[in-house]
Amino acid sequence: MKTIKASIIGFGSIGQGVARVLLAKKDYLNKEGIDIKVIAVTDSKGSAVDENGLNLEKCLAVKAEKGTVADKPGMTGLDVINQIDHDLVIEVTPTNINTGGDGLINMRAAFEHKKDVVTSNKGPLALKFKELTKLAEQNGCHFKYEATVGGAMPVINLMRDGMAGNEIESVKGIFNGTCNYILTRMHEEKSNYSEILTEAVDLGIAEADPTYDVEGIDTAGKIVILANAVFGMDKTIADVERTGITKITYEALEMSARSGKTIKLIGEIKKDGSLSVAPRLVPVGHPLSVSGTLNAASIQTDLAGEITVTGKGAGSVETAGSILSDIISIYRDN
Amino acid sequence: MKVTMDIELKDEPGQLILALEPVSRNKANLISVFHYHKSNNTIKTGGVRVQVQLVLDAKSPVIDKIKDEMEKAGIRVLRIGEEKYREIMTVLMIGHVVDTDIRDTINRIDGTGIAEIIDMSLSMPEIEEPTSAALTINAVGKEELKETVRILKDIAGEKELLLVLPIEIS
Repeated sequence: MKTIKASIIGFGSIGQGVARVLLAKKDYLNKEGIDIKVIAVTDSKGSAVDENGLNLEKCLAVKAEKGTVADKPGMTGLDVINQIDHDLVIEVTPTNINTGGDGLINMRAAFEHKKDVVTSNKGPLALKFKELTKLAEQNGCHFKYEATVGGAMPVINLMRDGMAGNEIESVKGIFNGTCNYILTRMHEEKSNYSEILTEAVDLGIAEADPTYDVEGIDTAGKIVILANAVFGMDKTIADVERTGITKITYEALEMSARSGKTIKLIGEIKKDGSLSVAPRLVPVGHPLSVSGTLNAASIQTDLAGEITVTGKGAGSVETAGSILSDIISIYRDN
Repeated sequence: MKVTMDIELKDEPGQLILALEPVSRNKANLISVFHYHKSNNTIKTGGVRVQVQLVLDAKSPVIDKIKDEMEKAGIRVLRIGEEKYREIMTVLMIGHVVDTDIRDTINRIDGTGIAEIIDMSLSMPEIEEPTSAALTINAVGKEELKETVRILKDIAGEKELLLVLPIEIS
């Protein structure tokens, strides 16, 4: 049995999902020869640390009761990474697409201290992909980020490993469940954008400030990561031609439906290097005409033709499941 | 009768004029001249050549005469297509489609000679609200469809309209 000492940096929805998944899959991990011992959990108020391994059930209960796990107030994720000996940093702090935020600082520090990183945090990768992958390589660290794109959908690993040998011509996909929900519901309810946005905020599907989703910034970040990770490009979010969904009208959806089409926010990567995010007309029945909060990615290849994957693009447990797959792939192989 | 004529010219000055002389001499109506991108269509064997598509309006015997005269002038006529439009797409435009001179939008597509708007439906819920328009467009071929998309993007940019393209358009 291989014991891996890990920290969970960020204990919001995704971080708690990781804790739940690690608890639920303990036996499965053990069968794979892996024992994950979480030695630190950090949230915005501070950290809980036990070098012999924290009780994750207790961490979840304390978080639910007090709103924080911190028994060491003020001890940041960076402090944990710099000061405590461990192998794996699970970096799930809130994303910052403009600066990379704490996530970028944490990832840099983790690699400098020769720690592996598994993350769902898009911002640092959308801004500094080359720098981070180089830093990981120079320090002999594993760096896995499947959960940054498409939540539960195994897009990156599918294209890099499962489809090895194929040349990928293009990728088109729906990478934002909030936008897909809004467009689906606008048509179903014969309602305009602002009415359905209010509904989505009430249901917790959209943030109070939905700009990041509805203006296509989130989708742009994800296709940048795919372009860099799968196509070997060197892109940042500034390279994406981007249009959001805020100008879509119910009438436009109705007109589309009359000719057997629907409108979806599509992120597209072409092998010539062009990246775009825009509402597009998609025929009903097309693999990308998925409804509600679902995500889908259609990959055009030279050998396998077109392959489409569909799945839940967000959600605490779904994203944590993707993080777990990355963890297993690192330590099972070694 | 509108026809497309694909011809191949040497990449030298004066070649296009040479090709257009038979058109002028036979009083055919020249609607458009479309250069294919060299990178895709340059033929390496036998010197550098470029492919050009003419759209003409003339009667069948006149087209035949033009073809003969071109070939006598050393111009290779690759293809004559009687069926002018082979591609079709529907796009959406959302915004102040009518107030931003809808006639101009139509003319800028129809005036190319390589594409035309064959159907348009509008939905205008209220005066101040944005209009949604569905435009069905025919184009001579795939390259011309791409050129039409480029023109539509320019129009949408200038008039601050949201252009929604079909997913198949790359």
